[in-house]
Amino acid sequence: MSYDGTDQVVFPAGAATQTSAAEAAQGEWDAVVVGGGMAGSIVAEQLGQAGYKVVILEAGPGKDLDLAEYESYLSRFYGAVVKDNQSPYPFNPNARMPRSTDTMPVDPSTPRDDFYLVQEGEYCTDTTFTRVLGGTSMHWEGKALRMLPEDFDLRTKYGQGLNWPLGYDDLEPYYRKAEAELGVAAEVEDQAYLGMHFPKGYVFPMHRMPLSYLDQTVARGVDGMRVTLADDEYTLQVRSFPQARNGVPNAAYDGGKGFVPVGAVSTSQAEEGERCQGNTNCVPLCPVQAKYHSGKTLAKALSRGNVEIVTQAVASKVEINEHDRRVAGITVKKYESLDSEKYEEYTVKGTVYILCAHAIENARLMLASDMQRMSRSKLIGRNLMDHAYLLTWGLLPQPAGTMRGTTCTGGITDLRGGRFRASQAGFGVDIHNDGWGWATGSPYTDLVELVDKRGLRGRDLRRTLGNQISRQLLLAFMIDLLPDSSNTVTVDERYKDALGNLKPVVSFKIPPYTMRGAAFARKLATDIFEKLGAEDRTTYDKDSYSAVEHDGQWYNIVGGNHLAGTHIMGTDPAHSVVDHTQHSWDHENLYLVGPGSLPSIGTSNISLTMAALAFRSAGHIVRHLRAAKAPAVVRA
Amino acid sequence: MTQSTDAENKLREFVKFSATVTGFSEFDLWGTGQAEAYYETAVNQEGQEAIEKAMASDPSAVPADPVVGSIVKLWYVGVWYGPELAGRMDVAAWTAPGRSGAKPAVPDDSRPEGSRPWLAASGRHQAGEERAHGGDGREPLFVVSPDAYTEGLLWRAIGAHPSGAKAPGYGSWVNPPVFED
Repeated sequence: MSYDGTDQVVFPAGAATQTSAAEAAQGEWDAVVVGGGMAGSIVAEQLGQAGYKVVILEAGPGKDLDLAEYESYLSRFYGAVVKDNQSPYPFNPNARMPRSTDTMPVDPSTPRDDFYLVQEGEYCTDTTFTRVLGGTSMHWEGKALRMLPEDFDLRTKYGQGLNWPLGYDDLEPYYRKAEAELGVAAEVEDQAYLGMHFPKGYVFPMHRMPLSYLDQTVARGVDGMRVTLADDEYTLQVRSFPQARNGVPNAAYDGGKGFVPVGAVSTSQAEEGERCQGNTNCVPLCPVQAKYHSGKTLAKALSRGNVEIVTQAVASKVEINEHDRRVAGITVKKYESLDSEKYEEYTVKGTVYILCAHAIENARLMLASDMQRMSRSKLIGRNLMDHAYLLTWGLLPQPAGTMRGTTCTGGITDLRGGRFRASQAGFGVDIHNDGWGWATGSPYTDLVELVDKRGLRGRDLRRTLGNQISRQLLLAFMIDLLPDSSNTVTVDERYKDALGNLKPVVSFKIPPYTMRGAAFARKLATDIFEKLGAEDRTTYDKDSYSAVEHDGQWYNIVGGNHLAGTHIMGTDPAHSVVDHTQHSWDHENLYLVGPGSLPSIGTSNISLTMAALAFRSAGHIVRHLRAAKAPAVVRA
Repeated sequence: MTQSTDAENKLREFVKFSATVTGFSEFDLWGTGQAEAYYETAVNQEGQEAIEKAMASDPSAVPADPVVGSIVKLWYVGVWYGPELAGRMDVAAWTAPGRSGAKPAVPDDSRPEGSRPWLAASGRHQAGEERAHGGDGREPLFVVSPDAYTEGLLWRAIGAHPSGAKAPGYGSWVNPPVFED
């Protein structure tokens, strides 16, 4: 432990580059993991701890996770003229990621380098995921909500969506494991709602993040507000969100043993990564690593010796033995650098294979490997989900301290569940400490408006900016989106990236069930703004790629970066791609671990559930390996 | 007292003028450490003559000299928005710190009909890693330096801190905002 009370994680220097793809291809691995993000890191760490030899194949650049590299992300963000939510990460033509700058409908004649996600339809989602070591956990906001018990059997309860092959109680112990690994700050008293329950005496690793002055301002109007929905009455309340970021450790954690937060990851001891300092920059990058990223798990895994990683290795094909349908290897394209399209191909072999490349890349890889042909459900790439975000914004009567805090400390979660879900989607409401930024590009748009359009100068400008921006309130409604087999990831020979890998083709529409929730959300926002005396400034643009019409009204539905559902889990191979352990129904030595396995996403940000499932699956993979490696019994 | 060079005098004039139009004191402006870089940026982009003309222009004139607007915005956020980008809300939105989601979620229609979206280019440029060049060799849009971003005056004006820098500390967000001015 360091002087600041955090547990320092040292990333072994050179670990990102010391294993060459050629060496990996000659090795005998117990497990081959594709992707060094949250799911891949957790699985690798758990298998390594159980004594198995693991290799991680990572598409991102081959840089150690050390402070210098992390600072380069930060510096790139400061200096980037387009500060979109991927701006800290280097442009990599060989393993591209979607960006809001390239959200547009494309066709085969669109220049190859103009885009990564292929979207041909009118509606285009601006959702993203990140392809660097640490994956999207570098960029995630850090909200760590559990799913509600009713989310696991939505079909039985409300006749909507799909049931899970496991329930809240099956996952509960793994939620606790995930909350420890990610370092979640919350209070049980805040989180025990809508049926969420915790073992007696459980406390979260750290105390809740304090509610912002903005949250408190909203709470003064909202707390106790009543809403009637499908004949039921709900009372609203501003509540703190559980967050995977370092706060004040709870001394009562683990039966009084307490909790030691995990600090910054570097190749040497780094006195950083203590408590959240309020940088208001969780997305796209926490400058001090107070927010969990999977490098914290990966560094542990790599330090122990059983786990190695090969970087700049883009998985391009899952090799299948046609005879028994077992996976025979993962072929990677190992590229030389971010400036060159030169690569060499290697096939890496192991006893089990675990794809942890996130919902879109897992599906893309399997489809590019022609695995749908062998899928009994034909559901690879189908049921793509993401939370539908409806943004609403208003101007409060008094300065409320907007633009300070973590991106979001509080919100309204009372309408996440209830009987109304039989006819319309539930939602959570985020109170955005970062003002109207997401919707309008504030505060820079305010500056341009005041300087160029209103001609303000000097003290007048300075005062007006302060008064105007500090009063901004943005409510982001995160709306449930059910599995729908027509929302898909596919591949198309006409779309390839710089290495010749097929790009993901995404076809995604917002279903009416979700839009009914959105329409209700819009009305609720109007009521909340009225209660607060805020001027409603929400406008929607029907000419945008995010425009959706519902009941004669136009809305903009933007992406949540909560991609899920391209290889859903279920109870039978005809209707799902994996079983409850994320074990492929069709390939005996293949696991698909990640948000793609979620059969529904409810109204919780997906990472905590994905992490809990990764811990659960790791246990099953250990049993699988134990059986596979046991000496064969020879019968006389 | 040492003799001031012509260049130093010009820089002082620039800062004096900047104090009037930004509403921050000369002391504040020197304190950012950006004065020289900003003066150089403005002169390189628009030429000495245009800068002097802007500094001599009537601040209350309608329409105001757009170069003055470029200088004000430069101090506030460290971005050089060429005068041809005055009033471009779409450009402002893309250059604002990323924060929550992809953006702008609700685009503004201020891009003049027929004008090229300045990010309509591929790869590194689209990702903002390379500077855009105007037809005449000028660069209508760039962040002067990583430090210019964190030294933006905007954040002080709004009682906050640059997104991703100069964090005020754990729990600081609980209290009402304090405005220096």
